[in-house]
Amino acid sequence: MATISRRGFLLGGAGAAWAALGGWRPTRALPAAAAPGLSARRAATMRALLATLRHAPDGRFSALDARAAQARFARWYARQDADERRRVDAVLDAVEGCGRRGYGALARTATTCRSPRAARRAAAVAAAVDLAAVVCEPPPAEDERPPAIALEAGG
Amino acid sequence: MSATLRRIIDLGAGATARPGSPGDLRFHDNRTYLAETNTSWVRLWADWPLLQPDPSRAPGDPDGPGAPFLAAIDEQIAAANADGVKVLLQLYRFPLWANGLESLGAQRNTDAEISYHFADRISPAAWAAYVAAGRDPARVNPSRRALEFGLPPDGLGPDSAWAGFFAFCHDRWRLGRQGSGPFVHGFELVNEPNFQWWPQRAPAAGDDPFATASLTAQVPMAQMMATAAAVAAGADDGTLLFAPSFADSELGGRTVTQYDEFTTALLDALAVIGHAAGPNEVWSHHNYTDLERRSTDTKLQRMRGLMAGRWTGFSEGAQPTVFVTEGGVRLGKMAAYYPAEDRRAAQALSWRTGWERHVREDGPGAGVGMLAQYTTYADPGFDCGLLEPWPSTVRRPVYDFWASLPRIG
Repeated sequence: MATISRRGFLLGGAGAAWAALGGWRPTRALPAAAAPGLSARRAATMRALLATLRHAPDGRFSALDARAAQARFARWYARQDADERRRVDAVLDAVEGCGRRGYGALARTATTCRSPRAARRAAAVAAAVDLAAVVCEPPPAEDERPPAIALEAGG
Repeated sequence: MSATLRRIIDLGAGATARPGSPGDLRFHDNRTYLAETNTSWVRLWADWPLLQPDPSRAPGDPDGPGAPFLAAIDEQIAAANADGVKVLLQLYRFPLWANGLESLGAQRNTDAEISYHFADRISPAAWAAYVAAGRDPARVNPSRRALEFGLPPDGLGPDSAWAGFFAFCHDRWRLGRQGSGPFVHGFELVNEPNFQWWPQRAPAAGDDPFATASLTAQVPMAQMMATAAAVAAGADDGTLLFAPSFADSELGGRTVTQYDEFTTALLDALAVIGHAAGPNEVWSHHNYTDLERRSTDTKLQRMRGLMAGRWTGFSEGAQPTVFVTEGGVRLGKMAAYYPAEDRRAAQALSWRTGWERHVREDGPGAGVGMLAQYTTYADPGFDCGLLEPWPSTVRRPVYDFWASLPRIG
């Protein structure tokens, strides 16, 4: 079973994470080394993403306090099981740096997709936005799917 | 044994709203998954607010803001066409310019937005929690129906904005386009109007704003079906029209109308406007709970009982015929219903049980033309995928079961 090691993520950076995404697998039982707390690096990635989403043209995140939302995210993360934390780690590592490039670049990544490589990047952005929505959007009601939040251009 | 029980995979709204995302048919091996599982139909989504955010720009404007999303739909339909997979295109949501809620759209996640029509959008418990938190969205942001599910005040008749959107979609992708461009075999007009639309009922008469009152949403639903049928009649090329796509949620109140109440009311409303469904109109339904509960006495068959002798649309075999266009088995429900079973094994067993009962010509299978699986990759927020959530590519036991089934239709 192929996996990305935590050391690989931390040392290899986002590029290595992208390259390895296709082979990533969850495991039912993570080794004890998988810490329940969100790493500072991943917390920074989420905070940058949240700050960027404030500039979305539809204004749904305009009042967002990125620092407070990131703190809520860290608490949510700590409540997840090991498989989910591992998935979240992979997603956040894959979008590291995306938030710093601004909303326009993020939206372009999310809407223009012509190759498998671009699709992996777009998929990671979509998954990261879904994670952000966990702490800054109303939760779905029972039997309701969470919305697929699209990143529209124009911001 | 049914020779017509088709299977469809719904790739979810994200597949076309977020090009490249895990549900995108073009990528992430989704075409392989459909082929490996012998799946003959795929459900894709056309999100009107994304395709036409500005009413002054046509949804097909190549330079318009909807162009990237239109391209994603075109290319995914074309991919399905190339693979011999039939497409059901789900038309989704209303732009805020069409339902008169643009000003509220600029105030999302504020008390003004949250409080608007709250009894038709929020459960009593969620509203009470919000009020107890001082109506401060930073403390409690209650679950509620999105603004894009608000019914347009000008209705859904032949002169409505929705009629224009449907005409655009039908003209672009109808079956008669085969040979000249991407084409679909069917359009689903709406998704779960008994769960997503608001308001569904007349205002409450007394002091309790959450009190149920008479159902009203069947009127625009009937109007929508008649409008689409009139548009499609111009082409008469065999393109199917699916509706009403009822949710089978077991919730109630003002935000969720049970399928049985809505079915009877809708059939009445169709009769009132004189719309007799034609052979290209397919009654569609969602059946998560029948599969998850491993039911023998299914909601779907109770609904067929209500339709018997009244529904005049598409039929084959035992009448009336119902197509399940969305369904699946959620892992969370497996944990709740079958705590002694491994969740993934329980998911596969529920599907196996459901298939074996529905593939029969009698009992739960009578008059059922299609069964549906919601997503290839699991959505962590609505987890019934054939695979673990992306970026994993691990197939669940239910994947192997799906792959063991025959290709039909």
